Amino acid sequence: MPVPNYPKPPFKAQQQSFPGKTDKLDPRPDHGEEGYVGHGLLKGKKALITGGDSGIGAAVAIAYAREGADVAIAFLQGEEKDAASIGALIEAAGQKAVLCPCDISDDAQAEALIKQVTTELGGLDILVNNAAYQRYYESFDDITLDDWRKTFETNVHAVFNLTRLCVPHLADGGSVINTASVNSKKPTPNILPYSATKGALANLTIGLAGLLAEKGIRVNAVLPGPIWTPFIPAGMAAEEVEQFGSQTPFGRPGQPAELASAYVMLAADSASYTSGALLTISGGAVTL
Amino acid sequence: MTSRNQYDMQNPLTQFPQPTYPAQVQVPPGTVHKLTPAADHGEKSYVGLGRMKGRKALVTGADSGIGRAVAIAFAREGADVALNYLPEEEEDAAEVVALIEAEGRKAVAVPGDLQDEQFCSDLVAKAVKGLGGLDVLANIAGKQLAVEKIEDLTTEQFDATFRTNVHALFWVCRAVLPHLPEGATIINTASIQAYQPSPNLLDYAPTKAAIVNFTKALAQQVAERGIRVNAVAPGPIWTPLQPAGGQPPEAIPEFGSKTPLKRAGQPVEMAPAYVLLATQESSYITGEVIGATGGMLLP
Repeated sequence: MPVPNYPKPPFKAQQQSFPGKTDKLDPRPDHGEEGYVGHGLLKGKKALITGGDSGIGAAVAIAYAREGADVAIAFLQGEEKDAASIGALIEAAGQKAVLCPCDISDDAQAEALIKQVTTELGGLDILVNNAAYQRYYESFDDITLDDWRKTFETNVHAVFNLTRLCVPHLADGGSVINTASVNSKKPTPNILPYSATKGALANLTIGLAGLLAEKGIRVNAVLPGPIWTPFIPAGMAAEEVEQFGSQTPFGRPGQPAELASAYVMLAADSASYTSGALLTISGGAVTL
Repeated sequence: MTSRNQYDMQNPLTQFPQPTYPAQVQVPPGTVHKLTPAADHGEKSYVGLGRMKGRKALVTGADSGIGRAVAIAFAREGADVALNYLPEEEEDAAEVVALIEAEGRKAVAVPGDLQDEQFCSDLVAKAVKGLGGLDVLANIAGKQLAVEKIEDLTTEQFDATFRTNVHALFWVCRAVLPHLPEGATIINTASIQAYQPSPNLLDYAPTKAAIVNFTKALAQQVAERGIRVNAVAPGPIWTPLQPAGGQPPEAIPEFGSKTPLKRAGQPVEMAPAYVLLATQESSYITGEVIGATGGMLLP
């Protein structure tokens, strides 16, 4: 059923400080902990997921492990508790978990991250650039230059840099999946810097797909619509959280678990002719 | 061609035959047996994992090309399949029926021309009766004939292309919707041509733009019924439609060479997107067009 018993608005008005904690999100999001059944689609693969401690990244980490991949997750310092619970689920699936606290916008930390991950996993086949920074601004005047820079450093610069560092490991069949957004095509004014980075990321995805094809690397993006993650009360006004997802034809936000299958499909070698694709998952909120 | 399955890691650039392909021409609608090199529809390589166990699917254009690959994949994933194709495509279709039955799945063959509105209703009725219901519709049949100059594009061809690609889509969707339970999905076949039209496909390319628009509109309309509607947009794919007039003969040797992956896609490479969109795994995806273009740009 596409309109399953997933929670619908109105939600409790709530706020968290960035990046947000899963335990504080009410109702609790579904990352597929109970529901996701793997089929070995990614057997033997090695994946790195940034922002893998919560939200979409957590759902992708669980799915990849249950599909047979060893999974490294990168997360910000302070998110160790969420990360440990995802690490435990990866190991419960019988796969290797590598937990890496890292500020991916810091070049030295990013380099150390890729060195650690490729060493501990023994290589890398899949890079999921999922971590992002988002902040809500009442008015234009609230946007500081520092915030603007921080948003681009996390959401765009880090994606390029991590991809650059991973390319030597991904050649001949590897896959890069970026988490863009419906904001890539239809910006939300009150999250202006975030929306702009997602526009850049969609563009970057298509350009990279063209440039990395000759190395046998596919590059695609998922464009989520409103998804129920700790990111939302940490990056939106409380009253917008209350009605979050109500504007979609499904009348509800998506759950992280509902995005995992797209990341699995794009990562699996069966999608061998899919590159440069932007896959929107929005409960029917259409983009062109 | 590979004997490995679709999940074995390999370089997508060299996974399948690369241009130059031999020059070749077929009489429309074409047959898989005259394609050189042979197309891969997953006959030997597609391994199912039970992702569509118990599902009942109708696939149009199921005798060859993308429809054939999707019918095979659906059956291997555990679905019973009703197949539509043109009566003259019986030989190709019979092989697909045999492949479906070899999986222990039910196959219901419903040959006929989708340009006939009454046939579209009959097709749905026969599929529903034969399979005991329907919960997946994959609209894949399409007509494509390249014509270089607008002066040479006849009204008959323009009409026939729109009737096959657009009117039939409407007729089949309208007929099938009353039968679809909550959770059912419709998957249409758009094309890179919807966004980057080739000048010699003046009738075909606009039908594909219409399909994109129709998909997004219908998705919003039937969301409240619990039904999802999406599309796949293939790039240049190695199917009989291409040498059977879909491309001018001189375009065949270099077919697909302009994509970043520098080769034509194979029908089997389209199947994963259709399977994903057919199953409950994609529960929050509706009104979406998934590209499988070898790296060519969709907006």
